[in-house]
Amino acid sequence: MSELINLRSDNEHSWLIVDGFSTPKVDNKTLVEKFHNKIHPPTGLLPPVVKWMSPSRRYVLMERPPTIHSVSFHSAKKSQVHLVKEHNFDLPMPWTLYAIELGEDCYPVAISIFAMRHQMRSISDVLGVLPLPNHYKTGSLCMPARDYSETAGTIGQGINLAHTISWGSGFNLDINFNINATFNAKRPLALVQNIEGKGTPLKLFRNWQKLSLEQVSQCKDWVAPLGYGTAGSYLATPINRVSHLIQKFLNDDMAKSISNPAVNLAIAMKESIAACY
Amino acid sequence: MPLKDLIIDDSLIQRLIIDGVHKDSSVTRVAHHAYGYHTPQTGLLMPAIRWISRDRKSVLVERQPELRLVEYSNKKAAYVDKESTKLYMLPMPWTLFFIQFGRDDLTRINSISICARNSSLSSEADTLYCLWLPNLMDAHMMCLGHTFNDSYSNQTTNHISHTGKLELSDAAAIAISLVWSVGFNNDAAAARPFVPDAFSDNLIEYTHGQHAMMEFWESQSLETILGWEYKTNGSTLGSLTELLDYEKPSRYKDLHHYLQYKTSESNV
Repeated sequence: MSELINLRSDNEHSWLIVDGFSTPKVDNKTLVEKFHNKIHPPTGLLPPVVKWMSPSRRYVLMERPPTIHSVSFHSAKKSQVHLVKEHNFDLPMPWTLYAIELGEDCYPVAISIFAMRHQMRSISDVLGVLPLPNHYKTGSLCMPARDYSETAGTIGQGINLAHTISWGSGFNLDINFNINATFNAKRPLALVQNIEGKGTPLKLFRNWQKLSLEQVSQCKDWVAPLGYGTAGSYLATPINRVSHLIQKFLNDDMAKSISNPAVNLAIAMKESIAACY
Repeated sequence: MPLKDLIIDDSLIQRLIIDGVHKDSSVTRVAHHAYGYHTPQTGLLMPAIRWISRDRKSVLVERQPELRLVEYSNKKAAYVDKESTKLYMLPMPWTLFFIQFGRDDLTRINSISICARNSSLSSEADTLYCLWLPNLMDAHMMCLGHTFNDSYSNQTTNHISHTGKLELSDAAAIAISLVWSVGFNNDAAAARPFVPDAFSDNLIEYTHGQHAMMEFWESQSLETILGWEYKTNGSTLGSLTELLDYEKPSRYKDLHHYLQYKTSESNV
């Protein structure tokens, strides 16, 4: 049986034994703090709309009341957005639920936005998908390339960044599953009625922004999200209620944490050594 | 100098050797404890939970300005009677409840700190101010007494019997509800230096055992009290960062000590 990690400590310092050699020594307190922060990043100040957190606190549900979001849209695939005009729309949104996964440094790595029929009352509440481009059938956003000038550091900052990324990165014609599904199902009717000819995102947004917050909040029949699967497939598990989402997050959280102690210890050690210089 | 070894092998068995004593445990089990799988679930959180501790046994809840019905007696707890007790509908500023539950579970409360602010929290560096309620020690720490924890324990037991569980959000909601329903008395009266100047400016001289302060407070609007200048107590209450500072893992001497603690937890 081979060793993954061999950590040796005296009363003040710790060091790793790698292939029989010792790494530089690091201060014990520094190492504990780095390791502790790796597995339990600081919460920071949470936005007042957090509705649920996983045990590791890296999976979060956040609720937002009905509001109008300004979005930019290019009616072209990403590679050709520079060739077409940018459109801006003020879209009224119903109650929404954000399902956010935060990475090692608390930067969001996955964001899903769901339409809700009302303010969340229980975990059996039903989820719907918003007919927005760049969202998969599961409700998850096709994440834009990370802006490395933005860092999180705490759970609270990561949650705030997720909201900014959701609405600030602009939409294009890359993924239209949920728009097509909304046109095909003709629901919510308020969003697609009075649209003539073939439904397009531009027609949808022009119609949508004419609606009031109240009209959008009264929509109760949003298209249901499909379940998450593996390797691009769907339907492995239906996720159309908050409880399904929580169960998925609990499973993902546990699976992710199992292999982490050795990895986190190695990272904490590396950071502690770096801090010595 | 004593040496300690931690070896994790590729079958994810963790071997801690301290003072020549071997202690083996599964990394997975320890990981679940280190990550907090043995701690309570959050449940669906109430609005405005602004901070949750790593062990999910402490929580900071923010409440927006609101009117609160409170019962106040101008006598010491042992002498409270009907004659000395009056109901007041008091305008409350933004309030923060920092609740620390018992180490073992959520059915006991270790402490509740209540702070005031003129606005919602926007940063960890924000200053916390004293709420000028009676029964707050050091002008922020609620005097719980055995009555409070007994009532809390009864209510959580009822909750568990109805729902089969007690999650963090439920526990915090029950605790805050009890703060307002348990009634206030003159045991630890609001200390004069922490009462906003608006009281003395309006010739309401704060003295022990008088209802005048509550009557003046009740006569104010929410808008008015949010314009008052609140006081800090200058010692135990500073910024939010300081309030939450206790969470640092400084109590662990080294990583072996840390993992030994988590290992012993996972063997429970």
